Amino acid sequence: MKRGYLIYAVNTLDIDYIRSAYALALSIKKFMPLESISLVTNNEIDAKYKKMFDNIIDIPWDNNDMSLYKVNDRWKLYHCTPYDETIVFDADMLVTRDITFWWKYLEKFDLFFPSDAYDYRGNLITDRYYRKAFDSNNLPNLYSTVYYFKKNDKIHNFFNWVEIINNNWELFYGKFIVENYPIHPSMDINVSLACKILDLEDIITQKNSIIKFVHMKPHLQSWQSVSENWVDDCMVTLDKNCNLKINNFYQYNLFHYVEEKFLSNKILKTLEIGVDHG
Amino acid sequence: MKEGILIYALNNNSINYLELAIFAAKRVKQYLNKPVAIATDSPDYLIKICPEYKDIFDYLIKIVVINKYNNNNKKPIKNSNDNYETNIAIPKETTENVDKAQITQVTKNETTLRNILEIDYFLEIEFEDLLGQNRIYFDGSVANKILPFKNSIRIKSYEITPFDKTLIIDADYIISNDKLNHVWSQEKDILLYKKSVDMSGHRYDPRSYTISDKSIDFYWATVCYFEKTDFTKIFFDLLEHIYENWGYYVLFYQLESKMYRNDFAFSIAIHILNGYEKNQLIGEFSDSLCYTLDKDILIEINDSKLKFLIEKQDYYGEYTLLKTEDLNIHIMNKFSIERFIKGIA
Repeated sequence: MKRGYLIYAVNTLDIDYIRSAYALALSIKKFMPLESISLVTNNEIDAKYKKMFDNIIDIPWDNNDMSLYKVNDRWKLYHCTPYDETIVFDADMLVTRDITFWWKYLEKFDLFFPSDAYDYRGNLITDRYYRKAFDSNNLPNLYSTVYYFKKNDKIHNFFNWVEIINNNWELFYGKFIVENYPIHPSMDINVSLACKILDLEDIITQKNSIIKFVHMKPHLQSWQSVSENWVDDCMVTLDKNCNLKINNFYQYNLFHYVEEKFLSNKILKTLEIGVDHG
Repeated sequence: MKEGILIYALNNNSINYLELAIFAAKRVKQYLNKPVAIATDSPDYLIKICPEYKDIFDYLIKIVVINKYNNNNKKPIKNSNDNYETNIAIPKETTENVDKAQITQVTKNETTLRNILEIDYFLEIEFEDLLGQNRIYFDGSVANKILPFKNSIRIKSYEITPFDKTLIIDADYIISNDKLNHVWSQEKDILLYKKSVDMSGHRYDPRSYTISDKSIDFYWATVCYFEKTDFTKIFFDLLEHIYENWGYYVLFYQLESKMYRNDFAFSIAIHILNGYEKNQLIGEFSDSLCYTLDKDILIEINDSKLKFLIEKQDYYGEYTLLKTEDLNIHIMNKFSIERFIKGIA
């Protein structure tokens, strides 16, 4: 069985997600040098970045996605993955330790989405600031920041539903997400809605799973004074062994930094040196 | 294994911590029935005010405080939240002369002090006070005084304690039950309170959850259990390091005030020993530390029943009556404890 990590990255007008995907690939190589990494994009890739990926895959059936958060093509990852078992990562994340033990845990699932997220202090996030649409419409609390799937007919069917929802999001959201109707389509909502329609919550997610990620959206950090950009208010240190500390807390879980400002040239250089030194 | 309670009493020119410590120790004897050690900078004064001290204290530690700070350099520090913690400078003669007077008197007596005390255990220890802080002490919601705040000696507890297993309590921690006796048989080397309850029910201080908004979890140093082990030695060595480099840690942990607090230093040491992550190397009391602020007033103690006037929300200078029973409470209004002890409450 071929297994590997799949990163979806398409640059927006403001954010260089290819650079983020490169940093993520560096962090994967640093802690798991033997793991396979593929990038799905329709952007041009620098030669330096290309070296970090085993495969660079064009987005199939390219429709020149103009959506703000580049959501429209995300359902296609199932169809273009080169692996039998795939872990999908958002580009704006870093791996902070060897997570190959995840594969053993995920073996028992055909499809898995985490339903928990953690703050940088290691606390389970309970704030619902960004999840009002989920609560008011009884959607399963799934995150698509990181997820896992096997290739088989059942999962094919699931992603067919995600495709249908995505392509008709206003219709589906209008029917199922009446309260706190989102202005933009969201992959989190699309997969949660597919999960609800197919009644799969009990088999595609688990509370307190080992698939843990830190979500750095500022309203999730239990702060009294919430800053617009967390990077301005927190000390970030990445040592030569690529151990990441945020405000004196070591990060051992997958780190979803959200803010591009986090990925300074210094951080990127440290990751490059970390990979070079093994 | 020697087990016992350690209480610190370093007087300033307005609060008689020795009186508080004597009162707290009597309640330790009553409810916990364990030996008590007192660590004080004024042992001669102890003899004077408490002739029956040998019935109350089993061990005496004399602290000789050496002031290493320069009071003239201290400037008021503005605190964005409130004026509870401050480094406002007070007249030199008020602080230094009192300290010197006490130390001189003790030094004069030191050769004979052990004989005078006729106590089994007597230890003299020098402590270099690097910070020399003052803070505002409230007496109810209206009255307050700026006084020296001498609390950093606690970092020397590993060296100071005569016990193998020690429970340190603040002199203003009033025991009214025997629940703390469970510490002697549990397995953690160090135990502190993390959860707490403000008895007012209406106040919310985020600093009792994390030491600053975006920083680490807060632990109370008010009640601290430790067993003498290699691990505990590292913990107290680390505390000393943090104390000696307090300015650095204030910045590094984004503290809002420069004032040294044992609670903060202990919280930082715990975080470091936990490997800069959430961990459980340091134990946590399973219940909550109950406290009243110095803006509240203790008015009565009748055995295990206590009565307070609790500062009212939004009504300056007004109070609500609160009664507690069989509850250990950290009573931050030291003036009101003193008044009760003196029978003028």
